[in-house]
Amino acid sequence: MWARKGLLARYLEAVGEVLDRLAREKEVQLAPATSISILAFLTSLAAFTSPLPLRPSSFLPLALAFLLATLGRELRTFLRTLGLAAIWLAVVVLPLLFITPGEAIYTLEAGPLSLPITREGTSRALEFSLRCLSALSLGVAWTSYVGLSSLLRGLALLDPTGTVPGMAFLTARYVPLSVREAGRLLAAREARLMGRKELRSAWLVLASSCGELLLRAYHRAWRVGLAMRSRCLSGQLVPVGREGALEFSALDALWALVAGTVGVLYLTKAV
Amino acid sequence: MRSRPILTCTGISFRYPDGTRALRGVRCSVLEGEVVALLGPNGAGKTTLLLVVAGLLEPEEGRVLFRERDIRELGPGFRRHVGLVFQDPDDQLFCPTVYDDIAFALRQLGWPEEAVRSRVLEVAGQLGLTGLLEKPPYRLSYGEKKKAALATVLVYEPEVLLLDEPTAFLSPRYAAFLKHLLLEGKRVGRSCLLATQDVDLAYEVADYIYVLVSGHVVAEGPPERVFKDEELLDTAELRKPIKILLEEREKAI
Repeated sequence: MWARKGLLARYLEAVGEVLDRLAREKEVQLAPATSISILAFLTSLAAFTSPLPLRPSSFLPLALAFLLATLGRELRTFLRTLGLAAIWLAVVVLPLLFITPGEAIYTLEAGPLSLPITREGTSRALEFSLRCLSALSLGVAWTSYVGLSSLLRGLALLDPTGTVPGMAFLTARYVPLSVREAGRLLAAREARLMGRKELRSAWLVLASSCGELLLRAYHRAWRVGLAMRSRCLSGQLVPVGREGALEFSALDALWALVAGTVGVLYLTKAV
Repeated sequence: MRSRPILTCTGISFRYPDGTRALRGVRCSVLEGEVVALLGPNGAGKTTLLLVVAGLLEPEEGRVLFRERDIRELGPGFRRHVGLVFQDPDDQLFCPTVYDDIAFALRQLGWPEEAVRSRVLEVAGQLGLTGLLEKPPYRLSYGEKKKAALATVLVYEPEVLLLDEPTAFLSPRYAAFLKHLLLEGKRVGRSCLLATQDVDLAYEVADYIYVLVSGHVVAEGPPERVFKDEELLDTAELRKPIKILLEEREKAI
């Protein structure tokens, strides 16, 4: 294809690749019960605890995530995810700087407009960004370290009917496919743009791709449903094995200790 | 004279919810141990007919009979007798690993785990998938996915195989493998209904051919007869198989 892929098509391709890599099988064999418990503990800790006031321990979740991604040999995937998340977060938290009432620390002048950046706004934006980044990076890094299937088998312990892990698996299985499909749709449409790329044509490309993707996703869901029924589906969606889910080893104990220590240090801000 | 049908469609009509009439009074049958090919252009209704025959779509009119019994009377239990392989293997493979995917139907049928394991290993060995069993399906190549999709069905030994475009987008090597599999199936008495546009495959393996155009069966007969009718081939957007073309060229020389 002659046409260069657009930014969005490349972004979607990258997202698909990251999801694929996260879903790969891993050599590390933690008991599924440990995998899911530590994931739940670490992400909740990072998401629901304020990192403020800023101290070295505020960055412990990020440091641990970095270590996990390195151990899981997915540092590139981790950094890409973190980078993309940071871009999205910047867009989301930017208004907080201006709309939060409080003491102005700087005022942006733009013609007749005067936008005060407040201390409280900065603090809230920072807190929100750090919470999101820490929780996301821990989730991504832990998944890249233990592997998705270990987490799904752990999830099966919490839901013996298998519905939630089944749905989680199907999401992990088909979201990268849909994301790639979206990338291909965009690339194909962009390749057929003959004139100069303008905002209107870019919008048309995006809107028609989204519509097409929704329809394709619906049809795929229908076909996957037919495939399940044709193979004698009798009730349970996708069997996720629970064998060995509670067989603990020294590695499980080690990671439980690490997670516990990080938790205590982060909560008490002792460092 | 064809006799002893295992699957029979009597005047099947089907309309999709958007109003598209996919099938109009289709009559066809598959005999025991016979490979039957459904040929026709894109949109002729071949895939829809397979879905109706598998009991996954309810026809507007007509009935599907399995060993002369209406499949509606047989209920979902009928599905263990037929194995449908979808055109896109990504629709067919939805489990965490290839092993789980192949084991899916056996587990649904309530087989004990030991028996499931031994049967999965046997089928994987036959199809050359043993080294891929612990892999997630999306890590496989397209050809491997097609083989895995086939294994998910062969594992429970259905009496009738329903294959939708089994050679589409695949290498000649895979087509040769599939041909061998179908001929082997014929030898052990397994029937097969094959929806395809691959005229070479149909000519080499099919015992009987139905040509579908716009939801109608416009012609039927043994391959030698169907592929002689040039007007029919033109209507159905088909061509003569390479073997016939070579024979004709040899005769001309």
